Amino acid sequence: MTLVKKNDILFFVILASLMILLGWAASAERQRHLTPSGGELVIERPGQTLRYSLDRDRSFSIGTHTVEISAGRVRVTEARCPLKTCEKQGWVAQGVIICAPNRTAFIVRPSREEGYDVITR
Amino acid sequence: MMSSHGKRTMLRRLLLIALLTAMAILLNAFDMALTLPVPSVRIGLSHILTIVALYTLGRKEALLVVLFKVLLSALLFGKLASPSFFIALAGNSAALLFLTAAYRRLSLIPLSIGGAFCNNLGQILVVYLFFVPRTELLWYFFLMLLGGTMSGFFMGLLAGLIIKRVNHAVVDL
Repeated sequence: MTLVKKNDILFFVILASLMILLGWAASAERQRHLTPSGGELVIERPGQTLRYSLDRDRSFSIGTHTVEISAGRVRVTEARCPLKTCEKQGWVAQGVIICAPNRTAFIVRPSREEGYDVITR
Repeated sequence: MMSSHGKRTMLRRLLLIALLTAMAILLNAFDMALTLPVPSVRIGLSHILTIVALYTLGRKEALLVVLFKVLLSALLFGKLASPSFFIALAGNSAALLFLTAAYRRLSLIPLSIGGAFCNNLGQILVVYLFFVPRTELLWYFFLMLLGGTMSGFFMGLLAGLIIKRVNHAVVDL
């Protein structure tokens, strides 16, 4: 048996070019996905639905609540209700903060590119 | 009636298939227990034995070893109904397809690297088609391949050492 066959060299050439091509395509694809694209905060309260972008950090009052948006996350800093469950929930990057007494829901939707789809072990 | 010689070789083959399968499952278990610092890389130790089966026994026997390995590993480790079973099945099938097609044409190390490549390709295709249809997988695939190429190299090296010894050893029955 010879040490190196002719096919081996061919194989490595094909492998190397495939890897370079793939690495280039993969990094291009990755760049495309890493550019931020907005998640949003949807506030549902009696009689109205409001939408805010998560891209800009800010703090504002909405009726019975004061909400803060920072780094794509949301928290309720002040609430006019007895239990203050929504305040205690702290920062939420994905999910819902609900204030039952005021019938208000803060739905935090991260951009499509973030968060987990599937976890498998 | 089968001659006594024919019976013997048949027994020898069966024994080798069973041994290789058992060892492959063990190596799989060892592989699973290892946690490497890099998330997308697994060594794939059991593939050594696929190659050994292919060289010492033949295509059909290698197919049996791989099939039993995948099925029994999934059964033993409780993954028969989980995505990882289908991912493993696809990866192993793709790798075996490549190995059987190329094993007379390539030397061991390129063969092993190609097998690792096809294994990752099969895995990522199943993940993309059935579980996570997202193009970000491409980057993950690339990382897997870097690790796969490396481990493929070492698995080929190891398989070579083992094949030499198995061919010299006479299983006396």
